[in-house]
Amino acid sequence: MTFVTISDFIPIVPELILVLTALLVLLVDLVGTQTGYKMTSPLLAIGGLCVAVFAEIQLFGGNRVGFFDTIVADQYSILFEIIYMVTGIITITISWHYIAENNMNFREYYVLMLFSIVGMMLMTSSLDLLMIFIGLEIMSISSYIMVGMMRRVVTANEAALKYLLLGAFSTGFLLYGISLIYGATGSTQLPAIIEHLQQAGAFENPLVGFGLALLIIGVGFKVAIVPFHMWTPDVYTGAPTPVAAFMSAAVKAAGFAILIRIFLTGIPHAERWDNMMWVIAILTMTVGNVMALRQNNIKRMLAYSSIAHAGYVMVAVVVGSEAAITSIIYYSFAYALMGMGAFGVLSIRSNGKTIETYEDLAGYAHAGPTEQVAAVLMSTFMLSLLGLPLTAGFIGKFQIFYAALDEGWFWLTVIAAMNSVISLFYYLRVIVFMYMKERIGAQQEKESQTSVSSLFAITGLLATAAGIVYLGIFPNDFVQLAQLSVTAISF
Amino acid sequence: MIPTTHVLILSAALFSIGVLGVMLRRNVIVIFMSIELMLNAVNLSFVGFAREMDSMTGVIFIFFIIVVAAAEAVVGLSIILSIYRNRQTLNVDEYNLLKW
Repeated sequence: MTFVTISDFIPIVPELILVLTALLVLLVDLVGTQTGYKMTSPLLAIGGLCVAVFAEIQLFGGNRVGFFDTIVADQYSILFEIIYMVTGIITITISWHYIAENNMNFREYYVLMLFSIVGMMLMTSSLDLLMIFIGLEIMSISSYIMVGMMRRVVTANEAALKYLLLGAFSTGFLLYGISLIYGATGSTQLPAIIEHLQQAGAFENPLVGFGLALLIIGVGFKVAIVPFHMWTPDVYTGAPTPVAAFMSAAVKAAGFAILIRIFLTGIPHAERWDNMMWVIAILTMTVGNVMALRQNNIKRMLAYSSIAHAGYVMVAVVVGSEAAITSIIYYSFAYALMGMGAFGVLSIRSNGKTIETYEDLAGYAHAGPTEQVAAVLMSTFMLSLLGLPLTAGFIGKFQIFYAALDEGWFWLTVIAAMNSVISLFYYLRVIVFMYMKERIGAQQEKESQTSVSSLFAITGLLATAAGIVYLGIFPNDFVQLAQLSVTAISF
Repeated sequence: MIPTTHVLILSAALFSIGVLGVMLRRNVIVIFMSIELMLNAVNLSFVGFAREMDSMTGVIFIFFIIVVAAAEAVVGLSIILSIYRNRQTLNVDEYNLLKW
């Protein structure tokens, strides 16, 4: 009988760093003074995330395994983990002023966010369905609390309740799927499961088909693909804006990370799988884009647009080639940056007023110095979400379409391209309202609400926009990293 | 000894009752109980498979499911409590501020 040794802990050093940081933030909160606007906790959390990113870079290329082959630190998981941590850093920059303004200034916010990231990292770097399940739950339970953190606001309560009920419901499906797969293959370790399923006739066991379908339902809820998307708009609208940003970026990236890890690393695909995923991809894109068109609330529009973007990623999941998986990784990162940026701008108050509908945006670009910068940033994010050249969104879509055409998915690509055209209307509408409409009834509520300096947020958003443009003009570095990480997961 | 098929049929039946409960009942607490029923149905199927194959993995999995279900119940009940304080109702149909 072998036991856990110290070398087992090396692959999870970044996770350990984050857990320690989270505990440290709690401790500092305990001994420090309780006045609201101190920046100790957010800076501490950012510092911890930076150290963890550094640790990941040290681990890169080492392919270390630990805990009886259940945890791996291969290039694939490291790249995704860095994506989560970068989104975490941006989330903190856009959170600080928001949580001070909205009376939710609990330091637990940062702690929960760090734990949520730890959950994502564990589930990405795990090769065992048990570990994936635990990581998924660490992530989900932390984010339930974050969504409901404004506990006196009724819409936030409602969003938290919907997220919790549907999240727990989907966990039930995921677990039932795992249990059926376990029954059919006798193991919860992914390599053993894949090896078993690659044998001829493995799919004649009805448990396998049911199990895989239930797993797709469980993961599908997390990444919000149609028809499991109903919670997304409600939750993103009701949740605090930075939390919505975090969920649309990091939680979705984590969902896609395990989707790739489970389904695209060797489980043979039947004709039925292709047909089913094909329909899901088209439905997800179309429903997301068409519903986004009809929204008047911008957060809701962004929620539907995040569903549409999940649809583009699903196109790559259908294709499933190495180039397609590379494009999924690239797109996850690109979407994380642009989605976070868009939500981040919405978290900044203008004249003491929160931006909610398109009408609130009217004349935004001329309202003041902060707004001028924010409007330029928002336009960058919108153009990138739209997929204009020189932005990360363009390269991401280009890669997905190219991979799809390469494998002969002509009509799927055409439908995806048509969907991009639909998205033109609602993304450009934001820019039109910001620059070309007059503000109605300005200054009214100026005194009614407190406004905290949003300089910290603007700095973070500027870095995000710079990242988008950099990824759009020089995509090669990141694409090469992504290709490297795709070769790390077995086929 | 009870055959494994019977255990699995019972677990599938309990799981379906749970799913139907979530979809049909309107009281938040009952919905939450139905979700717990689903998780426990999964536990039952794990026990069935683990006994059939004489492996420990399934049994260990159950412990983790129980722990996670407890954590979820803590968070869930506190969210339900805070929404009840604000709305004075437990009927999900009346939680309708966020729609379309």
